[in-house]
Amino acid sequence: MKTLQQAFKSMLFVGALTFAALLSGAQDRAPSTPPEQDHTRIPVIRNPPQSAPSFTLTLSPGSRSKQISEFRIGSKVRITIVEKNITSHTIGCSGWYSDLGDMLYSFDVRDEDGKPVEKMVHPDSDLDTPRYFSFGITAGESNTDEVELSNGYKFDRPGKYVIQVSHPDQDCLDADGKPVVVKSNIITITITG
Amino acid sequence: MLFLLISPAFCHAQDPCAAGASISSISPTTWIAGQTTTVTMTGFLPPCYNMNVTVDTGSVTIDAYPDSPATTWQFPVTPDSSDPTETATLSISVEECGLACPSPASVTVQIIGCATPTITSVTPDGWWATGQKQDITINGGCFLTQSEPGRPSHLTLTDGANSVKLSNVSVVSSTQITATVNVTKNAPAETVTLTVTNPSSSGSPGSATANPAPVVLPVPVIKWRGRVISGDGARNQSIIVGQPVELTTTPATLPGGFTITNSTWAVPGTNIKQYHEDDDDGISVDETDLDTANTSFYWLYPETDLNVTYNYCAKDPSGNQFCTSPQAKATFKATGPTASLSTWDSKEAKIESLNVCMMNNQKRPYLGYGDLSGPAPGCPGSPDGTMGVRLTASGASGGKYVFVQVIDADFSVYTSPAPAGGGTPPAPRICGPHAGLDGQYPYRDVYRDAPIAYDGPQMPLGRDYATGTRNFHATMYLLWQPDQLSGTDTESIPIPIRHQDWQFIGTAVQKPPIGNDKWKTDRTPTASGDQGEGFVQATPYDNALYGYPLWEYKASTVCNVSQAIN
Repeated sequence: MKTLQQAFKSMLFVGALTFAALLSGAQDRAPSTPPEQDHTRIPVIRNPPQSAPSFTLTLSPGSRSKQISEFRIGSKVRITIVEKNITSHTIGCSGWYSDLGDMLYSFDVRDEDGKPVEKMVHPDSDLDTPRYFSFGITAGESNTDEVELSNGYKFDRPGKYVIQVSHPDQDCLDADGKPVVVKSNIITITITG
Repeated sequence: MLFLLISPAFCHAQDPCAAGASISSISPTTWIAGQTTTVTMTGFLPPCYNMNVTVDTGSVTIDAYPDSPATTWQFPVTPDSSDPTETATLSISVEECGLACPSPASVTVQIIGCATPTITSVTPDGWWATGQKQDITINGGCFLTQSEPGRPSHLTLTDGANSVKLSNVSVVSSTQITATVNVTKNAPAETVTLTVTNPSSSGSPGSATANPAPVVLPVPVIKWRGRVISGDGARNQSIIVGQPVELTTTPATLPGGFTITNSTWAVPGTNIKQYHEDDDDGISVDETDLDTANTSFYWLYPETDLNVTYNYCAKDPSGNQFCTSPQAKATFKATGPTASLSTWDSKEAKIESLNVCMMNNQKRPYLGYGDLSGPAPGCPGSPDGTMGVRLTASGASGGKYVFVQVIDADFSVYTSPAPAGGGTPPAPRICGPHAGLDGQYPYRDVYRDAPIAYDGPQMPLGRDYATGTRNFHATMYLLWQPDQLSGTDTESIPIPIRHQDWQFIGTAVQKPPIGNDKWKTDRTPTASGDQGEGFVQATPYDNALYGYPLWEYKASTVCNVSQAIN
């Protein structure tokens, strides 16, 4: 699936130059850039790079209102991702999203033998129309994303599946100037026949 | 006639008639039906005697026999409780060995019948505390009517709160008394002691108390936030739509074995018990509980004179139903914000160039509503630029706005050029229609410091196509969640305010020759901004969800054909 591949590659292909310039003046808990006053532009929040991740990811099976970890073959496999701001300032969340949520989410989905689960591909994916997004998460608050994982992965055999999601933290760069990848907890779901 | 013959166990082998029985005195001479009386007699009680009591109706039991011979002797007698008032004759004779001695001694006594009344039922045995007269009937036995000398029976009533008045007592017959009770308003739930007493002039007075006791059934009371808000003098209450109305009632229980069997609320206005949202399944609401002793709900729309009423039914220990209680009424005024939603439209379609990170940041063309630059989908970083449409909420004081966008229809149509050698062009490639929740609940593309939501659909333009058209139609719903009501831990919920249809239709055309990836579009799109009904005030009748946004799943953004690859 081209869009997913893009997402995965993008984690390794980060705008190092962009952030390297910001890294020299890195200060944790620095104030964020105020949004445009005339509200005609997309409100992009940019923070100086910091030394520790700015958010955590918590993964749970099912939707936010109904946690379930057992699904029948062919049914919608839903997971919920909670991104919590663990800084003392607003962090910006922006980019593109598609059927699997934020396109920078990277999903590690394996069967009970540890083998990666087959991905779905859409032949017209080059014509997908992802939507851009940009918003802020204030200090201590969270954003909840429900993702229908069966849109991107084949859960066509009964058994247990292990899932983990990760996302680059563009406010936190490693020694090479690349965003640190924040990983979620690991969950197990069961597919029944 | 019934004889009770008493044969003592001891006789003497003498002249059986030599010592005749004699009675000088007897005390008392009045015996009460149903009661045991110790009788003292003087005279001579000979050996080998017989003693019996003769009555016209019923019977008298002598429970123990005095020893003889004696000049003073005692024994207990018990006229049957059903014996009427009548005279009885007590006789003592000597009789042995088949010889009947002459002249038995005898004395006449008076039996007083029905000295002890009984109560079998009180109808009704539950009395509403209405301040109005209610007729009651006491059923039982041995009630003394006015026509009998020295009578009738007395009916007395006592209650702990001194809130029940008794009047119009009438002993209709020996088995029925009627009366009127009046229970003051605001009387508490309590049992009432109801006693029938036969007067002393009828002999030894007896009494009976109704068991189970009648019960005062209080007028229900509605309470909110620890205060009584129903009844005389209650003031109208104010609440903000979306804030919880948590009502409790009294009585919670009833005494005397009574139970509350039915609770009935009437809650006018558009109200719900609870509100749930789910990205994939949409919004759902729970209907307000109207048959529980306590209830909790939210009003969704402003309204005045909202009369909330409550009543209940009770059941006595015998299973008799008392339906329904007087009504408790509380009046509310639900207020809401005067909120508005305005739309700004860029009125521009653009060919945007976005950086595709997987292609060495090569720029690729997109048709966009607004003007974006920066990374292409799937690439890190933030797109920058202006949006196509902006929806701004205003007017509410306090609380917070919640945006929810539902995509009504979304088509992407690509047309291909005719084959080089002529002929019919391939059929257009159509992605869509896509519909459902846009992104997530709530809508994520909002400013953090202003109640503004924005959007600007794009579409990638493939170099093999001649044209690309995006037809995007969405409805932005504005909800408003009031501040939490002080004094409660229950959260407020978002309520529907308004919604706004908007649309973007734009077409990009590749400049010939096809494949050079140079695209153009009319600066003014075919359609943009407010559409259809435009800005619409939410009403309870918008849909089956009282004006909340409706969706059944998240909107899909891919074309509808899929297959698996390894």
